[in-house]
Amino acid sequence: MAPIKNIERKLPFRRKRVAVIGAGLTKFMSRAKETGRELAWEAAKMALDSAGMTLKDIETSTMGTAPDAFDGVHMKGEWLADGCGAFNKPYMRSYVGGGTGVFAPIQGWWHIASGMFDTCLVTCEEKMSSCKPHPQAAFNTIFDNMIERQLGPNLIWIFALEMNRYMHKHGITKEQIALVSVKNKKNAIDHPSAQLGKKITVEQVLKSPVLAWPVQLLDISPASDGAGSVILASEDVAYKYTDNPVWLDGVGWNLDTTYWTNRDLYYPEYVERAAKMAYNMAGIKDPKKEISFAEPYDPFDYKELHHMEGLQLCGKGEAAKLTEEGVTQRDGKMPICPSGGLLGVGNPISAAGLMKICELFWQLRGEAGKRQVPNASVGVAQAWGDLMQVGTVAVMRK
Amino acid sequence: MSAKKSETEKFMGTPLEKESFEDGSVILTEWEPKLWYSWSTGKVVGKFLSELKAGKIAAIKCDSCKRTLIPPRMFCEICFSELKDWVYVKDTGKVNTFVISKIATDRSPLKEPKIAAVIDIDGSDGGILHMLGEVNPDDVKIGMKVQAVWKSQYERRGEITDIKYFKPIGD
Amino acid sequence: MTENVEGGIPVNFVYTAGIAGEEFLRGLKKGKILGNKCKCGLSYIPPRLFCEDCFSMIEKNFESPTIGKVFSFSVANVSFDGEKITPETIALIDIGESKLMHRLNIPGEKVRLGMKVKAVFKPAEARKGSINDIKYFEAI
Repeated sequence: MAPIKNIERKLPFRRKRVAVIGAGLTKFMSRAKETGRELAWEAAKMALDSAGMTLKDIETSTMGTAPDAFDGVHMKGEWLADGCGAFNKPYMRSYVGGGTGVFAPIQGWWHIASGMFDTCLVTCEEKMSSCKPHPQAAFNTIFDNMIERQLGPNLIWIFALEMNRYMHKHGITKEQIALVSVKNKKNAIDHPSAQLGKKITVEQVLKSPVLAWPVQLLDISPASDGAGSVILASEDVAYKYTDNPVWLDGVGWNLDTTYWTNRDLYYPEYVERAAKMAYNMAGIKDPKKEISFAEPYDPFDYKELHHMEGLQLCGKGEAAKLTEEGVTQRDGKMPICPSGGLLGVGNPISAAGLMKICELFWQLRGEAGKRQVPNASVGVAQAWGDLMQVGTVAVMRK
Repeated sequence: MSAKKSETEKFMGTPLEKESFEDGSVILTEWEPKLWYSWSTGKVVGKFLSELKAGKIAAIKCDSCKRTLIPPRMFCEICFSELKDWVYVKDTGKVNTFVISKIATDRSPLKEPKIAAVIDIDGSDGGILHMLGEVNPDDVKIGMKVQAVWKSQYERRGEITDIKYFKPIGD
Repeated sequence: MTENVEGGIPVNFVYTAGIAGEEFLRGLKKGKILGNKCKCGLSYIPPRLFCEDCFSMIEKNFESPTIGKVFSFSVANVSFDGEKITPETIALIDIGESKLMHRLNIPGEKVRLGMKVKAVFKPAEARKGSINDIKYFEAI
């Protein structure tokens, strides 16, 4: 692995501490009646209501959403702008695949940390049901246009190739990996936005239809419609709106090469780099000890394990064993995806990561209801996307 | 607090059942975009594809990083130098990882499963995505040695599919 | 040298009109042009679920007059693909609370800004809940 430069460098600029003071999340659904714009507004409105704020209190808006090929709407960031409260405001939209759900709050973070704005409304939205015959067909464009698409690939191939390599490298079985799907779908039963909260067994996962071996149907999260929103505020104004702000103390993001066939897929180096950047900023020296719970990105069950290792929450190849031992259950020593994750709650591409940020917010405020993890004091959320490339990480504390 | 909660609940979204997309209870608008692209292959991939037509696999070297790269590229993404040193590599390699696919690009089921793999090409520091053939899905192993099976010179057109697939060769 | 590789993106789209949009399209099916007005004073045609300025939810629709004035117009001589077509007049029509884009059944050289026009709907049985349930706007 090429040396990690600049990770240990101190951030010399004077920055404001950034608080999360409100959150809103729509249901994640197979198909929503609302247009994407309406979904974005619903989430943003709930976030504002939760903080007792109106749009007048918001100075800037950042947004994350997938490109036109998904929804068939051109200039999608602009089209969604009014639903994100961006009307007549400075506005920025970005997309880094599934990493967007944590990247949009990171964008919001630097708007406030820089001192340029005091409040920021961050919204992420996706409406995948518009894309026919299946959103996966739009993902065809992820493969190289000159030397890969001609082979007729499906998006799931890349996951299957990565899962196979991960299993092979560490001798992990499908039974061990299926435990993640069972855990997360069960956790999601307690999430009001969940699309697929359900009690299932390892046997059901292993008997589900094979899509692209080793990936089977119950190893995967669904395509969804949904939106989420959080409100960020600088330390100067946070207490004006709430007695209970949650601090976004560490952010990190990192991108690996698009030449994915030149990398060993068994380990996500880019997640490690993004995590170290975030931990360094938040002053976390020993994540295994200092992180109370985590929401790594889990579009597929093996991904949760893959990312736990990238996030330095355990050693390489150890995540499966910890899952077997129950360490990652809500009442375990290191709860992982107490929300139910993408596997249980759903996967509207850009909004899924934001669901994890919302989860950290509610858990750290003691507002997670039946999903509440005991003694939650520091949480880490991570999202991932593109061509097995991007890691985006956020560390939040009470 | 409870009044506020029910106020908020009406913004949770309106899920629709599959039937509503089919029975006319929701008005739907359909649109098929006419998008067609003609991509310039650039200096490097163009040459790579032309060499495939000639029945050869061409890679490019980065001397500072000491890497032989396939797919070839115009610049090294690690040290950012321009790359110009071409070299032919063998058409053999090892299976780095593989997938047995039962679905097509659009998620519709395939009649026969297809096996795709990332193949580490011998003599290079890289690999490519391609298909495996002449092998039973149950017999595919990571680390297996494979060799390219080419189309005849009359059928080759300068495309990645000039290689039909890679087949296993014994140790 | 292989200079070009061709390909497309194999997708098509099915859109829902949304909570507010669905009501607009159903209104057109009934031969009506619906809009709504926010408590802050801004009006929208087609109606919207929420106000872009004050962010409140807007719940009640109104029925707009189907008579308006030409606010701006243009004549299209080519299609999306650049093919020549019979010239078509497209206009932005001010119908009071907002403006609507639609076809004019008037040749370009006879259109004047500010001229009064009226929506002509297709017969009821031919309407589907689409913007094309209005055939065009004609001069009055």
